[in-house]
Amino acid sequence: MRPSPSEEERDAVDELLELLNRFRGRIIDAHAHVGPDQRFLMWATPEAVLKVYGRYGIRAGLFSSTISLLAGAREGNRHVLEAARAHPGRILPLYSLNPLEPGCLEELERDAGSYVGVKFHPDYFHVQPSHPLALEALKRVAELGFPLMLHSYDGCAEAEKVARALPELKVVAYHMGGVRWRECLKRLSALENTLVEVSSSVAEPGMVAAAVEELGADRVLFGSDVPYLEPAVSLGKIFDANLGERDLENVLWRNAERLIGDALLRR
Amino acid sequence: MRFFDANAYVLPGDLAEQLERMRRVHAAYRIGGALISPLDAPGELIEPLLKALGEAPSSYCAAVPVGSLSALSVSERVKAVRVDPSAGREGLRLGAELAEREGLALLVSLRARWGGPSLSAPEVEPLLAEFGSTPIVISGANYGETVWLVTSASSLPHVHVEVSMYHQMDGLRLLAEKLGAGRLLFGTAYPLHPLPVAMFKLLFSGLDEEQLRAVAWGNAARVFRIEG
Repeated sequence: MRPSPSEEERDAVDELLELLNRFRGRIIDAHAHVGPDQRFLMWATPEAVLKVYGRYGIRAGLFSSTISLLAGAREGNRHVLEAARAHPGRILPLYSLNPLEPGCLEELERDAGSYVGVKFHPDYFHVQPSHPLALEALKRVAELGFPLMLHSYDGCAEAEKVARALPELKVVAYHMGGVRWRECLKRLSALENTLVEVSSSVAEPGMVAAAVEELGADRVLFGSDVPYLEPAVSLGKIFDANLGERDLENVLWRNAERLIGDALLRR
Repeated sequence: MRFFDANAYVLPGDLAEQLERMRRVHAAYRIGGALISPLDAPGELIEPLLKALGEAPSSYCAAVPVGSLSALSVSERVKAVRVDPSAGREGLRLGAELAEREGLALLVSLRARWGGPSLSAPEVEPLLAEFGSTPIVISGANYGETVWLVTSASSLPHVHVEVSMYHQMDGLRLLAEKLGAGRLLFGTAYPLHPLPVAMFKLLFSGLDEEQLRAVAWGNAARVFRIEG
């Protein structure tokens, strides 16, 4: 038996690249955006995002449009659908649901077959998902069988409330609570209808390992948050977690496939 | 390709042990040197750090926090004066004057941790412009500073950017295009961030080979006067 190499002898860079190469072409990004955000000189055309995906071997992503966040949810939905039509199978569209925007539920019901999930951003929509108005809309989201992608930089306090109020709704806590990620894991641990997505500027060693330990590898998702973050950030966090092959497969694409499976069939 | 980590930290605890561990981990990632800053209790950590560095290769060196002036004279391993957000604008001026006088680089940390205290880039800009002969490295910039970097910092040729917290998509290519790859420095924020984040970010940045080598090592060697 060969002795295992010491830390000095192993080439961690080669190991990282080999590991990524093993999963190339299968990875699904559970959190992505197309569209401009001029505050940060981000333009994020579909082609620009897919070019970056190509470098990392990311097969597809679940996208909402930055226009949904910055200007108007329904306008952004038209934008993301256009991008999805131009890049079928690679840009999988999320319906951005602002419950305060007139006609949103009717539009979602009408176009349900076009989307794979629903995105909710409390900061940009200026309403919390646990507000009765929002909960009423999210109840319909659950009835339609969509998972909810919820921006969660609040330690997942809102994700917990929604998941408890609507146990039939799958709630994905985007950003895993942000700086308060430990609180997020504690809040969601016992709620089987929740998952966490790991993208954020918070990149502490041990975050992903803790999420897998607390929730199980079938409730943790790779997401990049392009164009706000380079995919390197989440992939680096995930590959630093020393997960086994099966857990990596779950985190990198199988969980996302399961999450949107019904919606994909509908499409 | 070899790498120089322009933003590594030691924290309160056994400095010799931390440094030894850092060098082992660095070696596995082809990192052959680092500019190390003491964090959280910088005044207390700088002397033990410099002592521990005596046992390390000459490419391992220190950024001395402003306020630890006595350390400057005790070690050739000091390559920069560091200003953290807690130093404020007065500390920034003190650090800049010190760096200029001692012929060192000035490391200006806009933030060390996400959600922690931060310095406002536009507020520090006049002082950066005033110290035009001192190499200045901005550390901790993120996408919130992108417009400032490409409109203001780009016109200050002595200002460089350490990229350990700069994560936006295609961001390194944008900065290379607007500032020049010769002004970007690879950094990891070890041990606060996982090393694979910085590695993936640089290796998949889309920069060409020459640019990559400059960002990985060459620029830091020039700015911090690293031997080897």
